[in-house]
Amino acid sequence: MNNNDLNLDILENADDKTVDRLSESYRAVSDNDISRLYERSETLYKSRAGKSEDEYSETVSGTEIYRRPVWKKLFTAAAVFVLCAGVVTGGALLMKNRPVRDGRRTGRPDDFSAAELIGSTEEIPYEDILDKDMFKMSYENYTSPENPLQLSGGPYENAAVAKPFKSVLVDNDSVIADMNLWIFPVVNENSYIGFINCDMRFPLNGEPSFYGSEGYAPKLNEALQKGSIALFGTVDGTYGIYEDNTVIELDAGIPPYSGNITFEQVNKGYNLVTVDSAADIIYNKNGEVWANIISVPEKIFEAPTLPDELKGKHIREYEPICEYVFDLEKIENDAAHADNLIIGTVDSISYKTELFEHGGTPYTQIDVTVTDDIAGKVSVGDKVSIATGGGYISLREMRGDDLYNTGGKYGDGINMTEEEIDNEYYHEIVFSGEVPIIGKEYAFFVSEGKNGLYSSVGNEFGMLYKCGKVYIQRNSNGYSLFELDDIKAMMKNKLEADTLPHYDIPESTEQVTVNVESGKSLIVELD
Amino acid sequence: MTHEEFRNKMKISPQQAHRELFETYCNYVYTIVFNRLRSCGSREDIEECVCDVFADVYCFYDTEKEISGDISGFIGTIARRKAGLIYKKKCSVVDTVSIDDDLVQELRSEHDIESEADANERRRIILDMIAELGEPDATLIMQKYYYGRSAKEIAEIVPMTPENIRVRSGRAVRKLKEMLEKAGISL
Repeated sequence: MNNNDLNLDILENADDKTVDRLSESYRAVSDNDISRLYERSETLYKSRAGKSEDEYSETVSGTEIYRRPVWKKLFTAAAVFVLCAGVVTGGALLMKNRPVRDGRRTGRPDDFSAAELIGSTEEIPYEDILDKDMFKMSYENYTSPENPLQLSGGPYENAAVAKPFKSVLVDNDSVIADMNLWIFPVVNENSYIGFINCDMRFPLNGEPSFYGSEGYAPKLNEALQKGSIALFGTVDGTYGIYEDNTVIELDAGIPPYSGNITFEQVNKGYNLVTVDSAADIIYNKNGEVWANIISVPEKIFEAPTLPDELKGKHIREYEPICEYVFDLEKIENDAAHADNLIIGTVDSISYKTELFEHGGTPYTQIDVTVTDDIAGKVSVGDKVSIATGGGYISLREMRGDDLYNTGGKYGDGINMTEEEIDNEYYHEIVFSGEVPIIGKEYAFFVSEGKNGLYSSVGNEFGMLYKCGKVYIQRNSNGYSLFELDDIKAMMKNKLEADTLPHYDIPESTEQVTVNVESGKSLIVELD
Repeated sequence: MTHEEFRNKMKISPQQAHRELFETYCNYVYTIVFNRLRSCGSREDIEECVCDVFADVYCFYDTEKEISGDISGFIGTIARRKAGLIYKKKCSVVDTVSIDDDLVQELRSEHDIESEADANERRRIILDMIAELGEPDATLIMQKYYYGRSAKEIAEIVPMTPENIRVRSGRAVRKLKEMLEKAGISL
């Protein structure tokens, strides 16, 4: 057998389960064949039932959506991808050629109208589209050495996708609607080489259609040399309008625009293509370019809210000098020291005290509803609490039994009335002193703590704000973005020996002599 | 599609109901028939059988009966029986034996449950591995090596040129063979 041969005879005469799986997963008949076979089945039926054409034909009045197998989603869109050459025009043609079965069209191209181009207005964020297989396949058409799209000058190994824009549909003097269709420009060295269109107007089983080609990319490059343009479409095709209201035809072979629309009317921001638009890369051969597609929220932490019971109290702020055995800002360190990464929504923030023999120390308790975790130790929906450094503490709790001490380092003692002591609180600020925002989702590096309370690892640097599928760490350099897979990989890393705390102190047999009273001494062994 | 949905559609327009039924289940029926007749029937035989199945469904479906549930079971049964009949007619080499013949006592079932279970497990593993290739490779493998389509025919249903399909399916089959080898499966 040739190395490229493959014998799949074993799949023959399979059990029902296998046949069902084959049917669900793979397409067995092309669209053309379906139509042909349907006609044949009808002929057979009529001959058997003895029906004439007249008594059988009836007018169809309304249909409904029916279930299609999985492969339909992929290949209906795929077929569209191949067929359509234009961008917005392509979408228009696509609609013209839509088959009768969805009940929206009669199938005659001459009854086509602009209103029918609008379709669904339900938009999918373009960031989510970058994840779809059809998008990735569409992108590969630009980089593939086989140059399947027959791009002039292609293929482009380093093709990238810039931030998408949309068009608007206009008539003679007004904008009718925005076109619910993302136009992802494919660029190479700041020049447009084609488009990937994600058409959300007429979803099939909830999925948008993808199509694209070189389209009007060369014309767009040429047009932008004169300045920025706002895109718009009519039933004839795609046009661009400059700030001085001159209109340029982008699609080849379309008539000049004869209406009176102005730049001010057309420009909606999302359809403005500037000279610099091609540089705004959001996807390249390495995948998504996060920095350009994630808009970091205005804040990912916030100043703590003073608890009600502390309102009216005298609050002193202090920043303790903390030393850590590793650099907390380095996420690799936090990941390596953590037992788990718990992802969850912050329900509440409260301030507690851990009491010791001589005084106490405050900590912040973050109550979280779990949405995921790496180690599989908690379940979705579980409520967990995570402790992190800093918080509010009363003077009484902070000083404990030492509160009323006098002499030595205590001098004359606290020198406050009981009322003053009761009103005295401290706000211990660790790093920024800010806390996670209630209602937002974070990923927390944690280690097992006492009494079911998890300890945060890395303080605020070990709390990553979840933004879609990106996790944001705030640090002294600004923000760092991570994907979950990267974090998981970091958690598997072994620590370098020199980053671990070093407690290897050799035993000593030395003795020291301590003078305790004048003329007397005490010998103490050091162990 | 459920029986009830089909009956309701039949009341509005039998022709439209037939068309929707055909479009929904054509792939299902074709898969069943192809699976049975792949080795012994021509493509024309398979297509004729598929059309026959639907013609039978249209003819014999009783719209008066209040049956509920998914209609796929009904269609699947007709498809399997029809394909089985054609298989017997075209491909079966089993001789007919009289019921009075002494040989009847010695005849064994054609079904070997143990080996069928093994084969099913192997099929499952092979399909898992093909799926693991991801798209479009999995589809290219199935279309080329199972359905026996040419690169030109495959290009009608995937957004790739025939040249691209040849190159990509070659790579995909080599990758699949490596995976099968690791799993100790030879085809």
